[in-house]
Amino acid sequence: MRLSPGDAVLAGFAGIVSLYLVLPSLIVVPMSFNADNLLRFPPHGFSLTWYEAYFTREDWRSATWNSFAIALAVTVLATTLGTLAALGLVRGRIPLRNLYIFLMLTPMIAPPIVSAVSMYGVFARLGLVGTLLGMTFAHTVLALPFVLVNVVAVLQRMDWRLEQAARSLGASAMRAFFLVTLPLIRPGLIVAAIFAFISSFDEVVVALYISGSNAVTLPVQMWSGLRFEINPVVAAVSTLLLGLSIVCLAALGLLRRAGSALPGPAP
Amino acid sequence: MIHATDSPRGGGEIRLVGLSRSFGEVLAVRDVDLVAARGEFLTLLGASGSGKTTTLMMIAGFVTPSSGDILVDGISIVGRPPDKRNLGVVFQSYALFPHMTVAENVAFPLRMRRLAGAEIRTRAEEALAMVQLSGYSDRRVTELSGGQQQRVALARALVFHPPVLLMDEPLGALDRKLREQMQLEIKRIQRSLGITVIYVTHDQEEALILSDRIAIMHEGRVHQVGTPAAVYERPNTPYVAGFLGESNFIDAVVEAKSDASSWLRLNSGERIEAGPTSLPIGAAVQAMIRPESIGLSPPGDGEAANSLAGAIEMCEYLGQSIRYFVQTDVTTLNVREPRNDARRRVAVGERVTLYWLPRATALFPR
Repeated sequence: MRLSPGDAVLAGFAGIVSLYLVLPSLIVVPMSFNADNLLRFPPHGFSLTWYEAYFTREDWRSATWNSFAIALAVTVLATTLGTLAALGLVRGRIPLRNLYIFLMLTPMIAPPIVSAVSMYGVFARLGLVGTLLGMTFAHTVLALPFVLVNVVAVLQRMDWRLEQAARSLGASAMRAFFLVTLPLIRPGLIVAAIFAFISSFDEVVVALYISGSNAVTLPVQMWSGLRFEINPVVAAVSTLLLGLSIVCLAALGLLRRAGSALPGPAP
Repeated sequence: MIHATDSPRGGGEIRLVGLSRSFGEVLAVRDVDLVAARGEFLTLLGASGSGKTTTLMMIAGFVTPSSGDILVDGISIVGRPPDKRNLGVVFQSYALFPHMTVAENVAFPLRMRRLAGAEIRTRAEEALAMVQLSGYSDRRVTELSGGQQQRVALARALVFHPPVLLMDEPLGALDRKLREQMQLEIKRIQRSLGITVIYVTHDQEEALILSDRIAIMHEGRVHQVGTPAAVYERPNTPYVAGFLGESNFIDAVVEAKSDASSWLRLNSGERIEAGPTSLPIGAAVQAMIRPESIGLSPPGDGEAANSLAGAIEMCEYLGQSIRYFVQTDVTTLNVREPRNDARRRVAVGERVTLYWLPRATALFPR
C-alpha cells in the first residue's frame, strides 16, 4: 500500500504526539539501570542494584504486599457493589435515579485532595487510618464510579428478553441471572474489575492521608522514596509498574476483542 | 418445583376474566374476557398499541394485571412468577441464549426441571427433529439463519410439553417466503401436538391462515372473537370491518325490514337490499360491502337486487386481481375483480353497473 503525502504527514504528526505522551514515562527505564546512586538521566553505567534493593528491602516489600492486598480486596468489593448498584439502577423503577447516579459518580469528579481530606476526617474518628481495612474502604469509594459506569453501559445493551425467556422456561430469577445474564455481561464485569484494581493500585493522594505508617502502599512508598532518598529504586519500581500497566492494558484490549458482542467501554 | 413436565400431550384451556392493565393514565388492556379452548389456535390480532402484546405478557407473567384473572384449566396463575407457570413462550426476537449451543438452548427448560442427563439429551433431540433441525445440536445459535433461529426458539418452548404456547409476533422478522413456510410448520406442529396456542400478530393474512379463532383488539378492548370467516364476513364493528381486509362504507337509512331482509335508502335516493337487521326502521346506518363482493357488468344490466351505476375512475393492476375505483352517485367504491383471461378488462372512464348480493352487506349504526 502506498502512502499519500497527506497520510505521511498525518502518520509523522501522530508519531510525534505519541512520543511526547510516552517518553516522559519511558525515561525511567534507562534511569532504573543507573550504576551510581543518583536518580539522573542519562544514566551512568549499567547495574541491577536498584532492582535488587527493591526486592530485598523490607519497606518496599511490605508496601508492595499492602498495595496488592488492598487492590484485590477493592476489586472484589467495588465490582460486587458496583454491579449490584448498576443492576438496580438500570432495571429497577427507582425514583431520583439520576440523583443516585450522580452521587455515586462524585468520587470521580471531586478533586482527589478533597476526597482525601474528608475521608481522613471521618476515618480518623473511626480508627481506620493506618489500617488495610481503612485503605480498602477508601479505595472502594474511589473505584465504585469506574465499575458503575462500565457495568451500566453493558447492562444497557443487554437484551432483557433473554432473561424473560429464561424465566418462561422455568428458571427462577436467581438462576436466570446466574445462567443467562451473568455470562453475557461477564466481559464487561472483567473490564470493570481491572479498572477497579488499577484505580486502587496506583492511587496516591488519598493513600497519603489514610495509609498512616502501618498500611503504606507502593505509590506512597515511592513518593516518600522520592522525597527522602532520591536513589534509583524509585525508577526501578516505576519500570516494573509500567510493565504491569502494559499487561493490564493488553488484557483489556484482548477482552474487548473477545467480548465484541458486549464490549465494555472505558470510562 | 414444576410438575407439569410429565403432563400428557394436548392443550390446556386458557381463560381471561375481566383482564385489565393500566400504565399510569393509559389503559393498555381493558376488561378482556377470552377463552382459548383445549387445542385451539387463538390469535390476538390488532394494530400496534392495541394491547395484544400486553395481554400476552400478562399470561406469560411478565406484566402484572391491574385487575382480572387468568385461569389455566380452571386454576388461577396470576399470583405465580413466570417460571412457575409452565407456559411455552416464543418471542419476536427469538431470545435464544447466544452463549449456548442449539442443544444447550433446547435443553435449558429440561435442566431447570432437573431431569436426568440422558432424558434431557433424548428429548432435546426429539424437539429438534420436530422442527427439522436434527444435526444442528452443536451449532452456535449465532451461526443460524433467522428461520433456523425461529425453529430453535419453537423447539425450546415446546420441549417441556407445556399445555399452552404463547407466541409474540414470532414471524415478524422473517421475509415473506420464509414466513409462509414457517406458518405451515407452526400449524403442522400445533395440530400434531394438540397444544393450545395464543398467537399475537398485526398481520391479518397470517391470522386468517393460522387461526381457529381470531380476537380483534383495538385500544385495549376485544372488538370481536370468531372464526376467520365469521370475523371477515360478519364484522360486528366498523373498526373490525376496516381493519380486516378492505371495505366500502355507504351511508344509508333503514326504510323497511322483514325477517329475512332489510331495505335501505341511499343519499342519492336509490334503494338497496341488505340482510336482516336488528336496527329499527328510520335508523341511520353505514352499509359495508367488501370490494370482492361487488361485480362489474356493462351499463344498464340491472338484473341483480342491488345495482348502482358508475364510471371507472382508476384501476390498479395487482397481479392476481384488479382493483377498480368506481365513481357512483353516492360515493367512490373500491371493486376488486380476479384477473381472468376470459374476462374483458374495463378501461378508465367506461360506464359500468355494479351489483352485489343483499347478504354481502353488513350494517352498522351511524
